[in-house]
Amino acid sequence: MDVAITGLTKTFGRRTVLDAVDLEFGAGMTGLLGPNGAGKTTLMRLLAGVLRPSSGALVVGGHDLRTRAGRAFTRRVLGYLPQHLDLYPDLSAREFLDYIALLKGVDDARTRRADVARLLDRVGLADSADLRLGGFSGGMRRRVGIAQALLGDPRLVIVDEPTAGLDPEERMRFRSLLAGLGERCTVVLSTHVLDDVAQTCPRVAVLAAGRVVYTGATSGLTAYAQDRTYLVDTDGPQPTGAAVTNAAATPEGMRYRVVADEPPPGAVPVAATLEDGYAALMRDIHPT
Amino acid sequence: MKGVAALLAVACYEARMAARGRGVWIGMVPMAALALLVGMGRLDGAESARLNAGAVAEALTLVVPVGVGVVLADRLRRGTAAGLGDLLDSVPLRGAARIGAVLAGGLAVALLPVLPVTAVLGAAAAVRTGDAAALPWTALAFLVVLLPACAWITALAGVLALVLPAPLARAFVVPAWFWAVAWNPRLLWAPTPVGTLLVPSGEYPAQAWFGTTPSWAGNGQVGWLSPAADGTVTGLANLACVLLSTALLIGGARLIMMGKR
Ligand SMILES: Nc1ncnc2c1ncn2[C@@H]1O[C@H](COP(=O)(O)OP(=O)(O)OP(=O)(O)O)[C@@H](O)[C@H]1O
Ligand SMILES: [Mg+2]
Repeated sequence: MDVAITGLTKTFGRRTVLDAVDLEFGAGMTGLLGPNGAGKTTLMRLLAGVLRPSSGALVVGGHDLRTRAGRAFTRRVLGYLPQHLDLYPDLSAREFLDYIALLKGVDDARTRRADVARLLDRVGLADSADLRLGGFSGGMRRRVGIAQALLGDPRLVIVDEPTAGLDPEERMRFRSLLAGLGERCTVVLSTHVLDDVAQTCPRVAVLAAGRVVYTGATSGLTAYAQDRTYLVDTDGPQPTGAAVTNAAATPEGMRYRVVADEPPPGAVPVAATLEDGYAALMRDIHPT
Repeated sequence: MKGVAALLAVACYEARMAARGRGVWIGMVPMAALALLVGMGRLDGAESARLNAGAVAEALTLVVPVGVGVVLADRLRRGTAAGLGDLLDSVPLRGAARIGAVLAGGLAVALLPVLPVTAVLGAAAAVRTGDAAALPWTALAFLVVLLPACAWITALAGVLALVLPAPLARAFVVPAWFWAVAWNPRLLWAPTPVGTLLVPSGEYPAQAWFGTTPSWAGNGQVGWLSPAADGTVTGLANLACVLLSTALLIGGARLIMMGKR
């Protein structure tokens, strides 16, 4: 399911939250990165048809979301996990998922039951399936949210910070769950956990202040910091003129990981990671 | 047909949630007890089973909808919680139809405690009048007098809670109901549906099919909207008006929910 976004602008009152965004998402997984307030959630709500654009176009599988038919089409193929999802506390996980499957148009009760049981198992909630959601932990609720997004065999999956609050094992389980969706599904995943993107998304888009500042291969974003990433051991102050991506105390003082155009004194070059690439990109946008 | 089955299933889930919350029971069990007292009070003058059924239903309709509105006010608001509103808006089965199913599910549960009361009142009327037809007449009166009134107030309460904090909306339901069915503009002028075809009190249907004597019908503020209660035509016209205004309230709820984005 191809998604084409052109000139997409969204304003709330006088505030421009998305500014002439052009993006394309194809089959497979795309990570959506960006600082807090960059407009990721707004972009996803627009894609889900929950918000209407102020101007510009969103086209999903050839259907324009500005038309009623286009929005109806998108709703039929969509799996959507909002950033903050409150669940009905009075329902069990199984009932909640069955309810959402019903709303998603999975009319056959037997299909629904099988689909729900399969997804409960996939998110590791088979044992808690019949407990009320009101008693679920934050991570368990998040997993119910992930499961509901995958109900009804969606072709376009939009998940907004799906791994927020998941423990490491669950995060790994989530990655393999998404990998299992296969190439026929388009997945857009926003997150602040760069590792999630590094592990699962071959492509990435970065938003900052409502604009696209990077779109392309994830390896390309990592390459941003190539030959600019260093380790600096020092007992003096933090290196200046560099973006510090990590700091750790050592017996001799401090070890800093930095992204800098010129190597600070005593710096040892190291291979860049996605985190370094992201830091380098942000540094280029807002030079300090 | 598939859509109807899905809406029914939605209503069932909403009913399940309403039944699991304590609020509905805490509000409606005492209300059912009050309804029993009010209904019993009306049995004394029973001349015929039919007249009696109408009079009892009219009396219940003064009080029961207040409880229904108060306990169900939060039903729509729940679906607007963080993210949930977005999710519910991103699925194929959405909009006014879903809102209607949500309210219907809640209403079914809220009226559960009132059902046995209605049955007891019907049985008591059957004993008193010596006419077994009192039972079906009572059931019919429940359907055409009490039920539309409850649907109307449920929708109104749902809308109120979308624009006011839930506790305030609940508190507001009480005066709103008395404004809608028992306001006397001659004592204190205000526009009110009382006496017109818009009134949700069930006066017109009660006159039409049970032969009760209306106390306000025909004396509304807008002449052409206030025909004297005169049998089936005005009964049906009033039912249509009440159902239409319920539908309008649901449509309004939908608009308010969309506007909240
Ligand atoms: N309904 C709204 N009304 C007004 N402003 C809004 C609304 N929704 C979002 N905004 C503003 O739009 C900007 C982008 O918000 P958005 O939630 O899309 O950011 P984000 O990239 O998802 O951030 P985060 O990483 O913190 O989730 C923020 O400044 C926010 O205050
Ligand atoms: Mg966000």
